[in-house]
Amino acid sequence: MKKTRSVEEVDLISELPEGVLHKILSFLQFKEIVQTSVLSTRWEEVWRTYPDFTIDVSVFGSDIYEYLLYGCEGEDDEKIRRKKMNLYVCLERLLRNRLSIEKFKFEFGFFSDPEFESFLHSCVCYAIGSNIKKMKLEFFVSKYHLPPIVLCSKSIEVLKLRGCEVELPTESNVKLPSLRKLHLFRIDCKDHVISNLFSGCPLIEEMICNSCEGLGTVKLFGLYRLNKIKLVDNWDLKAVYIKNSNVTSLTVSGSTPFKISVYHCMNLRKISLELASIKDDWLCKTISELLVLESLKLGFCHELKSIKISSSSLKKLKIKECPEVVKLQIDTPNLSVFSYSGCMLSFSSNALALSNIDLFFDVTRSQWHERYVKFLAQLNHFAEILDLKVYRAEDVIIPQESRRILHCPLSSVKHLNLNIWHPMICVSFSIAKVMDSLLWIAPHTRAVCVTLLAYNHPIRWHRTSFEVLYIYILVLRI
Amino acid sequence: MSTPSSSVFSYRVLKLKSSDGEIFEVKQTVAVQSGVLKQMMEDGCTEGEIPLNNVDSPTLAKIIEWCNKHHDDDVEGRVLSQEKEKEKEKADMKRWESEFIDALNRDELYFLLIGSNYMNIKELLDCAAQKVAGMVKGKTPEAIREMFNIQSDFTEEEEKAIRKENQWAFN
Repeated sequence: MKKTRSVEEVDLISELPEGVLHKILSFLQFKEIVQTSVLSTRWEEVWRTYPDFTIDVSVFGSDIYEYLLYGCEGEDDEKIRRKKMNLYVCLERLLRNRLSIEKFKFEFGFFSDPEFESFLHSCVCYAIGSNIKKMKLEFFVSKYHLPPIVLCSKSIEVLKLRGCEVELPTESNVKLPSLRKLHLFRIDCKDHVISNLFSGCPLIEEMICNSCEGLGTVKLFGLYRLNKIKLVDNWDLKAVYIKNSNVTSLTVSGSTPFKISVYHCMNLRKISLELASIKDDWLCKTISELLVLESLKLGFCHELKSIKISSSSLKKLKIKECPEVVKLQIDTPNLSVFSYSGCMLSFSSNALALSNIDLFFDVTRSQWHERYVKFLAQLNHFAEILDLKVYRAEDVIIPQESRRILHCPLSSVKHLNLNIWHPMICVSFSIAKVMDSLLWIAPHTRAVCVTLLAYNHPIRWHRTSFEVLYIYILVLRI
Repeated sequence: MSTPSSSVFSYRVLKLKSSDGEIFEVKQTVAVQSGVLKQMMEDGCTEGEIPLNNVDSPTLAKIIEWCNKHHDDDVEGRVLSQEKEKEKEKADMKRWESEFIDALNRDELYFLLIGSNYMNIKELLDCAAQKVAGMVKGKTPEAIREMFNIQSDFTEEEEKAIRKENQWAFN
């Protein structure tokens, strides 16, 4: 291709392949995309074959948008209503005339117009009728009553719903033979709908349910393609059963404690559980059976008392606020990242590959400093980088009398980060005393970073950070 | 923990030949960003020179510059780097990308779109397409025609009919 012509003089942009022009259009709002159809016959053709429908707020204009939000009020209402109906007719015609729609996306906050819902119904039905592959319907305040026909689409591969009421098709089961990804956010549904939904999606690979109501028991048996499951903040969740699955990533966090059972999921690499009713024995046994598990996160698991984890594959372990835990034993030779927040506990480990440690202990108790220093000492030879978090600066200021009887706990640490949280008030403290104590804790550290997080307004956080590069002078050691 | 196939990947070099005959050497680990080259590597047909008939040498140089920047030498090592650093890296990369794209003139941008589409480099195509979309955004059809020298081949009636069909979009 010779560059004898220049874009500045000749219309080369129109000569770009259709796929590239579609790509350019995909970064524009729907109204702007439609406007390009008037540029020339080439652009009209490009628009006619454009497969994505993302109907956004730009389509409605401020007058119709306000009408949809607040309903009738002023004198111009009749005029706006006519304009609105015209718009609905136009958009429906656009959808009806498309041979193929790949992606249909509708995002809206709140609507109080009954005609809007029936307009939306016809749009969704046209989309379903044109072999759609991806559908995303998101409503942030109002709830949209999803036409059951959506759950019988042969072609749909990705379905993302937010703020919808989902009911089963009458006299029929869910049939989504091509579905790979299902995201449900703030959906009203019943247990039997969910179980019907899963049994109707044999090829499903990814499933996310977030903040859904009516989701009580989730049973996932034999969905062989299912790879990623995420169930987060579903109000009514009581139990999750997973069996014979190839799932690799499992995240479940409840609003109240829930039961969980995992059988024959040999490919699990990542587990994250919050508020799960699990016992010490279950955890120990389950983990030892998962031979490729790499990441484990446990949070707010109230029934755990003595955690024992033995895994040669585990690389990342995070334990957060499990209040009854008093003992932690980890036999994880390949662990590289360890994060703990909660009460002080007794700890033993052979995590030889640890390189990153993050610690945050709860409120201080009696003999805090001694216990703290002893705990840190156990981590000394594992990691070069250590993150410490405390509520108050005093928590890390080791008193002189304690320093006299204890050894410096972190003589091998090369990089120490300290985050100080003031949950209630900004207490003034001496940065010099903090630095002095940190340099006692980790005398050979090359860098110390102290970050203050404090808020004097519920939503506005202030973050201040100091970084001190502490050059350890080798000469002194010789 | 590199698998045998990935370590073989990193040592080998592909010879890419631009439309004007210039040869560029690219590491396989860098070249995988191109869907087309990745497919060729998987099929095992990357011996000798790979002709890229739709990409001239200045454009290919730009594409390789992009791919080199987006290629991560030490993926395993970086897993350990902290969230803060990751965020910063991401922001730095975004800045580099916009500087890279903004420095191009209209011709270069056009050939880059053709080249990245031809070689199937999704991120680069997205970035370049977004740049063009930014030029179009907020402009009337008349202004867009003027900017890109687009000649309307509609009759007056035809244009009127199109505007009427989607009246809501043109007022």
